[in-house]
Amino acid sequence: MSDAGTRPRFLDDLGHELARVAARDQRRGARPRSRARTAVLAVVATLLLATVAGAATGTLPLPGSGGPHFVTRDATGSFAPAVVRELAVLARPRTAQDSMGSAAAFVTGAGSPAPGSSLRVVPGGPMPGQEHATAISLPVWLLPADGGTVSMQVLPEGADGPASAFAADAAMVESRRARMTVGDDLVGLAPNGIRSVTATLSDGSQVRLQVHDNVYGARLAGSVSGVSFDR
Amino acid sequence: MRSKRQLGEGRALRRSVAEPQAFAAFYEQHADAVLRFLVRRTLDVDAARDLTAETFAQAFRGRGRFRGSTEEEAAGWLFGIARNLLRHYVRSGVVERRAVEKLGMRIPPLEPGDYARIEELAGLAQAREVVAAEFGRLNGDQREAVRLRILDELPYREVAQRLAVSEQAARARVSRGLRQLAAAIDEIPSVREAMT
Repeated sequence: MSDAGTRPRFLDDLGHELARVAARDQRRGARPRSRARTAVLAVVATLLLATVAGAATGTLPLPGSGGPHFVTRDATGSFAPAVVRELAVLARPRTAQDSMGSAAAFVTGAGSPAPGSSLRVVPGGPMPGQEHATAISLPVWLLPADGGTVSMQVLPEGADGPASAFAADAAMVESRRARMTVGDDLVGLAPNGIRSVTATLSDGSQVRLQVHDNVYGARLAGSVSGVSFDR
Repeated sequence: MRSKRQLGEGRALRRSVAEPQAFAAFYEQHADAVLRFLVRRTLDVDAARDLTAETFAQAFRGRGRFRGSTEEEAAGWLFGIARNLLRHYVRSGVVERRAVEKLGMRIPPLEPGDYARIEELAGLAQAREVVAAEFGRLNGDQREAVRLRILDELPYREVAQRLAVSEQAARARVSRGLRQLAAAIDEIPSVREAMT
């Protein structure tokens, strides 16, 4: 007798299993995480860490970032000349779009950046035909931080604070350490003259990303093990 | 104008945020199509079973992130999850089970008759013919790269050595070859129907 032609029993069993989980959640009144809830949790976690570890120095190393720092104080100064020389975008004329507004005070705890100092940038995305990367739409901000370093902050639309942030000096930018990951998203800084970077994923596959306004970014199908500048 | 049916399913998925049990209707609507899609892409009933379970587990856990309202949007969102899992599986050879584990789900075993039923559901015989024909149409470099990586299961480093090219070039050849095979599978009417 052929068993073909009827619905696989597995699908009914899987449906029952999902129904069991759904009924359990319904009893508990559990709700799935929305993007907004995830962003808020990320902000709370980041600030909690910053409060504890940044008390003494005002900076907090990000896990796995190898150098960039989260800034917890004084974002009202200006960029150091060496940083501006590495990142031409910092010298471009500002527009109304570049104003961070009240979000900055929440981020830094030190008030809004000096007028005309912050920038909103659109990262370059994946080169055409890249299999393991898609463009991201997260707003990325650059603003002056301690010692004239540049702080890069990924600020989800509508959130009160950044999903992640770091600060870098000119040497960090040049040494490719000025980057961070936010979930599956990679964002980073590239010095003048670099038009694309190659990100290597942990499985060895590579993706090429364009650089726009000294910034690159993409949602990747895997964790990043390294980034190189295409010269 | 959107039909009631078009709106209904997207709404069911949205409703399941507050009423988890409403997810059952969404599952019933798509379970066959997702399994068929994954079986045809993996040609492996066991892998497709696990991928189907993880797809719906991720959809259940992430349903709060669905922002659409129509049937098309709900289906597109679900198949996006399936495609991501499939990509990870093809690249690593490992089926992700994170959502299944976090939900504490048990993946039901396949019953003795399920293999035949699933092969029938997916029309595997037809898919195998299509893949075999398309494989023969790949250019020589791609065919050899796909053969070494997929059939012989060699790591990319070894594929590159055998082909005397860089690892990146080997990956690109395999990737292009698989894309061509996948495109041929997508043209099978029942698959196209499942994806739209």
